[in-house]
Amino acid sequence: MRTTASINAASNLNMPALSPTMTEGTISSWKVKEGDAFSAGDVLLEIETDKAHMDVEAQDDGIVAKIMVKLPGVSIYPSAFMQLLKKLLSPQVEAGTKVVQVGSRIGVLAEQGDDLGSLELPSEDSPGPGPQSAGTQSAKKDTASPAPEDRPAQVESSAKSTPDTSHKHAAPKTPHTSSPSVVHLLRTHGIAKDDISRIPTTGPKGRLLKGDVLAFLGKIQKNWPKELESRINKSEKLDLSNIKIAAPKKKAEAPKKVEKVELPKNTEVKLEISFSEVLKVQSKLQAALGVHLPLSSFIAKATTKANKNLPRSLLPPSTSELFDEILGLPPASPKTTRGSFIPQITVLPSGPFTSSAPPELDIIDILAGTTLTTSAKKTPPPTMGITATGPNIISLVVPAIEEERAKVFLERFKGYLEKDAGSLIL
Amino acid sequence: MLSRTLRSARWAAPLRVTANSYATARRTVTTDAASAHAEKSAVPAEDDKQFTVSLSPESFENYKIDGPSTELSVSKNELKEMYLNMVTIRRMEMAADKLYKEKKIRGFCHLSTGQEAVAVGIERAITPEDQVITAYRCHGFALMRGASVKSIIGELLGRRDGIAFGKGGSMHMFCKGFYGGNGIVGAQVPVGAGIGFAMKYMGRKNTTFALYGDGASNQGQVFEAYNMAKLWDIPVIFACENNKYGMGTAANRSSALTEYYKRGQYIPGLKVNGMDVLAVKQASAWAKEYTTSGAGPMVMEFVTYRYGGHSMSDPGTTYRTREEVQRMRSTQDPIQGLKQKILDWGIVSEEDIKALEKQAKQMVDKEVKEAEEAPFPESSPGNLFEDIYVPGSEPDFMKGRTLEETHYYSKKA
Repeated sequence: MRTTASINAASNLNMPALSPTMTEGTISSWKVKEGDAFSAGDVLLEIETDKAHMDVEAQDDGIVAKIMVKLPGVSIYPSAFMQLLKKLLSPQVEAGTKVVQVGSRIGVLAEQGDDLGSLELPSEDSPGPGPQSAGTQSAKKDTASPAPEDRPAQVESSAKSTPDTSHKHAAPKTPHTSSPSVVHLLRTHGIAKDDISRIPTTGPKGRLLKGDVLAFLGKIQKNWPKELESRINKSEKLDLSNIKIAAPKKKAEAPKKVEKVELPKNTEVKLEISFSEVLKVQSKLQAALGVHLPLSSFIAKATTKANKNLPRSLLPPSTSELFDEILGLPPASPKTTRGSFIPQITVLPSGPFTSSAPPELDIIDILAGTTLTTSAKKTPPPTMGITATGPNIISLVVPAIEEERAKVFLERFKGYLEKDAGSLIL
Repeated sequence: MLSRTLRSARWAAPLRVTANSYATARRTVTTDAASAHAEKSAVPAEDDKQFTVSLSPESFENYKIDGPSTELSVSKNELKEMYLNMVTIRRMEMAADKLYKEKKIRGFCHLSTGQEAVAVGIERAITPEDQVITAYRCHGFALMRGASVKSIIGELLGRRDGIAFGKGGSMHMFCKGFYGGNGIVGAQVPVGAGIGFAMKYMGRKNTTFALYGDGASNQGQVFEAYNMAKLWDIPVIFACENNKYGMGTAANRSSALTEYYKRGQYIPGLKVNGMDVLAVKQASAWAKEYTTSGAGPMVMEFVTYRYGGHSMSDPGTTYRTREEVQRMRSTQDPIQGLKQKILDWGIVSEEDIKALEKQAKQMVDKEVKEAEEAPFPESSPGNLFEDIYVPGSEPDFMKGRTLEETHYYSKKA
């Protein structure tokens, strides 16, 4: 916190910039009093900036000689009346206590051992508020006058190569270096130096933009750069004024509909069958050859035979069929195919012949909560197995589109077993 | 069965950890800046006569190596010079702090207040022919390697008189035997290994100090450099300046192993009290001897402390208490430590100390003033395009953004 002026025993304590972007700060509180000694690292005062509260540490040992900017109403002006009085008496000090610019004096520090009574206060090193930014100073200098000594080489070198473009940095309105596209445009159209200063600029801080040059040249509409500028200016800041708070979400939502899933519908095809013919053949065989051929082998044989040469299935072709097609093998017969039905045989003591029973209550119906009227009429539970004497029921559960095919199969199956049982022996 | 094994392993682990931490707690390096000892009667009357100082046995900790002796010989002049050097660095850093807070210095600025003993101690142990490369906390090293205060402060202020002609700023300072100030965290370590390799290649009996912070020590490239250096027995000293805090984080919160001197694994290590300039000097001299003898690289750890924040935009009190900083300042300060020792040994009087401090302050103040008055660089293409090539090796021209900006080196602009 010391000034470089080594002649002065006392040095000014200026408002420090505690962050690169800080330009001003408010003193929250002094942690030391006038006359206090402090050592390096001690907190002298607390500063509040637009971003944070920060402590100012002493860099070196010393004594507080004088505090220039005090807190209003805390340490020295206890009453509101006194504050008002103070405001009236010295408005500039009052203004200073509110917000202190970086670099302006807030106190004087002396070295340890100095006599505060006889101490000569140094003059303020920063005349007037405002950061003593070297950068801004030089920038100001650049803006004020194009500083001939700053640019001679640039102008000279470009003058050597292309004399008519030496003006490009000299436009008084544009202290900035123009962008390459602008420089290029100016050069290709040979715009004179005087004309450049007459081009209205719309860029930030009066920068000459490509659009400005194009408008000047008449290549685009004259008002377009202005429009663009106003549009950019408008969208520079996010306008949140028209935002409304959304209404709370409705709690009561309609109960979810149970979606019906379309399952492939199956139908059952039934046919009554009698095994009396088969049994006759079986006993004949037993008598003639002494061989007992079980009923199941008759059924198996009949199934195999009935499956042959069925009408073509309406179902999508199976993988083996597709494979055969790829291999180029012709189907055995284009009209008919081999089926793969396996009939279910149940004993039904009574009941008429039914080709297709109404669909039974399935899981979808239960989920949907719909009751089928037919479900009320319960058929007696069928018993598995075969009875030799009474009628049996052969049934098939197949997809709906296969129904016709299944019927053909069952008719044939029945035919083999009832009328042509003898052929099943071989 | 498996679960029982797991459980027993889990039981065993904490026991081992406790035992380890206990062992390290007992053998830790001191950070006492005034732990050296010398008999007052042994101090000679002559200023340049060497006498023996014994360091505290806790000044060093070794890894896979015997380590330096705690007996060190110095002269009165050397001690005075060390003191002056440290005070000068401290003054210069304080001037930089002030200028930064006045917004005269912009951009990056990392100060080394509290770590002066490392820069001074290393410099006292090496010759100008040895090489140093460090990270961005480099002002003190630049000063010790021969740069003037004016050129350093001028560089911070962006003046033409700056050490890098005002183009480098705080992070980029170079002079003979000093390869900078490097902005990329940890990137100077492999470069340092390369400089060491150059020393070996040219057959020079010189070493290279590649310094980095505890924050950079976890960089992968640091370990790549270790590997190559050991593989080729490069005379390089990987020196970690452990100031206990990286950028906003304590070392033990960012590093799995905070014993940075053991990080080399297959490279011998040496942990040094970085607050005692004499211990730093002794260890650095020994490390130079070791590396230039052809034994290969070495890892060093200087245990030190920084008083300020990581950079100027870090208040430095969010991850540690102000009391801790003040305690380190009042009890372990390297400058105060040496001051106390040389007063005790009767080498200087209180008046001499005052005179030395005044000398440092006046020198720094004068040079800072000169730097502030120095001009900014001219905005000429000549200034812009210089220093890309070694003078004399430039091509005919360098392209600018447009045709007109092409710079011809032959036409001196």
